[in-house]
Amino acid sequence: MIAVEKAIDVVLSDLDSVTLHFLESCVSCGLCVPFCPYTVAGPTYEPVNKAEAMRHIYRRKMTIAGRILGPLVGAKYPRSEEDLDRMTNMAYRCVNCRYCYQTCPFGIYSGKLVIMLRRILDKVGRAPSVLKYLQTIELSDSVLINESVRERWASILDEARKSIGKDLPLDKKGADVVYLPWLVEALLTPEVIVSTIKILDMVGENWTMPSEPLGFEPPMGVIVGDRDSERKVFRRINSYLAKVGGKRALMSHGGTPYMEMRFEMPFVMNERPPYDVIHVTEYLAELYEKGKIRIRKEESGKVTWHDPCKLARGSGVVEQPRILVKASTTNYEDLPHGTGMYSHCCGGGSGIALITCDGRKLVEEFTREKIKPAEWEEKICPPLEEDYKKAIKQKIDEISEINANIVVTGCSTCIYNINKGATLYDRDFQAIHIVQYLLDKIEVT
Amino acid sequence: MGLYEFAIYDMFTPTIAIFAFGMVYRLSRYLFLYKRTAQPVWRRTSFVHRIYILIDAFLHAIVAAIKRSKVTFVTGIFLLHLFGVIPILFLLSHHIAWWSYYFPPYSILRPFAIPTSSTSSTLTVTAPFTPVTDMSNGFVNTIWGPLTIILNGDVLAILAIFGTTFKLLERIVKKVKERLDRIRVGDFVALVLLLVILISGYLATHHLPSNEIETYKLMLGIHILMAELLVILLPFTKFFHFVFGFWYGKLHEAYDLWRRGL
Ligand code: SF4
Ligand code: SF4
Repeated sequence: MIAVEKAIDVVLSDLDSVTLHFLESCVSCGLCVPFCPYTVAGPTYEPVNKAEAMRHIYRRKMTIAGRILGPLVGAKYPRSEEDLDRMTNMAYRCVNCRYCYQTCPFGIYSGKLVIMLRRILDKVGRAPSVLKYLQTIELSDSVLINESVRERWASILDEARKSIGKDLPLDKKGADVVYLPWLVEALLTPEVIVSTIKILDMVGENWTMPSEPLGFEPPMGVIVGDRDSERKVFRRINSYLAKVGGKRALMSHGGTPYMEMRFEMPFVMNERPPYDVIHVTEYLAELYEKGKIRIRKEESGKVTWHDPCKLARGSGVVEQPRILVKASTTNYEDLPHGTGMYSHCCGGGSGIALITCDGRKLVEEFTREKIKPAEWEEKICPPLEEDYKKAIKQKIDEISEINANIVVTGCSTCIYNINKGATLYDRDFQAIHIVQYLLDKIEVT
Repeated sequence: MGLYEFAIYDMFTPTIAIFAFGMVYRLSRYLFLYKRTAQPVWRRTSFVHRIYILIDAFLHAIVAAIKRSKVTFVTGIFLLHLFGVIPILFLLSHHIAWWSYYFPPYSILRPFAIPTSSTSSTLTVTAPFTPVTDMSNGFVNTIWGPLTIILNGDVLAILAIFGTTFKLLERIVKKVKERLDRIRVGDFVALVLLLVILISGYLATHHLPSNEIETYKLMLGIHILMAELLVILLPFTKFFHFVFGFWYGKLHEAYDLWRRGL
């Protein structure tokens, strides 16, 4: 842990011109406000107000007026424990969904400034203990840190083996497709890993996968705000792919890892990886369009597709899942409050769902280890829990508006949040991953 | 020497010099912080789609505002910008004359000139008679036709004054009631300055509060001096969005959307 000022120096030392624009060009018009899933938590958590906390720091450190006039021109450092509590509250009421970026008339991505807050907080020992714990898991030599996790992983592989009736081609060299399941999927949606393996086998793909996940939800560094660990994890993934010689890295989880590896890794590592990153919806849509698979159309209850922010707004995967889902049902309807670039977030990504009390319990049960919260966490967690529930409710209400029965999506975190919301608010729809949804509807030609 | 002469003769060059210095300072920060890094593999999209996205990047926030922030759209975007400050600043006949004096090619916009008041709205190209005037230019013969009933300096100025006042009051309420950090001192400075410019311009045009030449010169002096102050402050305040932030932000966003194939 280091002093606040030192942490600020480190974080602001790698400022680039785009972030400078985000810091300097806001006119406080408030147009981003209604689109943030955490605005419901109160005006303090409007995107621009959260970003302003980073602007205070930036002005104090890097502008002449800020250095001379200080708080008078909105320039100050967090000094007290209360200041840090307030900053932590803001930093952990953002899911980095990029909606504020898309709706700002100046193209300002407030979420990026919130990540900077998280980076400062991490350096002063203010990252939530659950996320730190998961980051430590990700950074260890093996993510299968103990018996409990090993057992869960082994049971997933066993089930997959049984479902395809043969051994899994683990760590195989020269495969065309390298499937990268993450530990977070083993925690939240283990059946998705099994279904993806089944589909890869069914379509006769030349594929492989690591014998154990290469990360929890990599890079956890981006979620807790630790650039060094981000790089370390990217390096590990890259060296694995270099070792097996994979041409395409395939993911079933359309959350942080997909967007980070597909679009952010080249910036962070300053090199373009020698493999393509694809989501399973892109993979299946490609097979479908080439006529290699058929999808059986069925009459069903109302089906809709929820665009995960990182997959759609963050990575441009919008058409492919719709091609697949529409081919499978006679009763499809898009969500009413916006799709693709304008989709409303599920409200629990970027680590938020896991730092709630239930999230913590889930991780503890998974690892059978007790994660001790820091003293400051005891104060900030209960209100966060309430705000998280309000944030996910907006998605739940949107789904209810069209009376959907099945919400198909492509991200384990979204599935967890939507299903949790459905239980919490007593709704009778269910969120399901696209590979599970399509599994018994796909026919190989 | 009065305020008017001071604004016209003494402040012009310093204003331009400080503005130029400020612009160089601000833009050089962007240049120095520019980092060239490796690029992800871009998603493939057609040229036509990219042009569409480029245009859309400039428009989609406005469309989103129409849907979800109606009050901000009407007061902030429509009254203050699209139907207020922008047409007044660039197309009001007086301002076209001013811009053309310093930059002669600007006079090409004369046919689009907006007259000062609605009483001149009949003197347009669509009027059934030719205006009788001794003036050497044909400012009132604009292409706006009957639209000058609303497209005139008076109406636009009043709408802009309304929009600015609303924004000012809204911010005061938000700052006092919600204690929001995002409402900054600079917001108040910018809005008050804009309000003074708009009101003094309106008063000068109408020779108010009295018909004396000295009052007229004082009002016009305030109008010009405050406009110069705005130009001086422009590179250091939120007014920068007008010359750089908006354009840079939207071009960057379009570029980012191209990359992601959206
Ligand atoms: S929309 Fe953009 S300029 Fe307006 S308040 Fe939000 S971040 Fe600032
Ligand atoms: S990225 Fe999403 S959650 Fe974060 S501030 Fe922006 S709109 Fe809100």
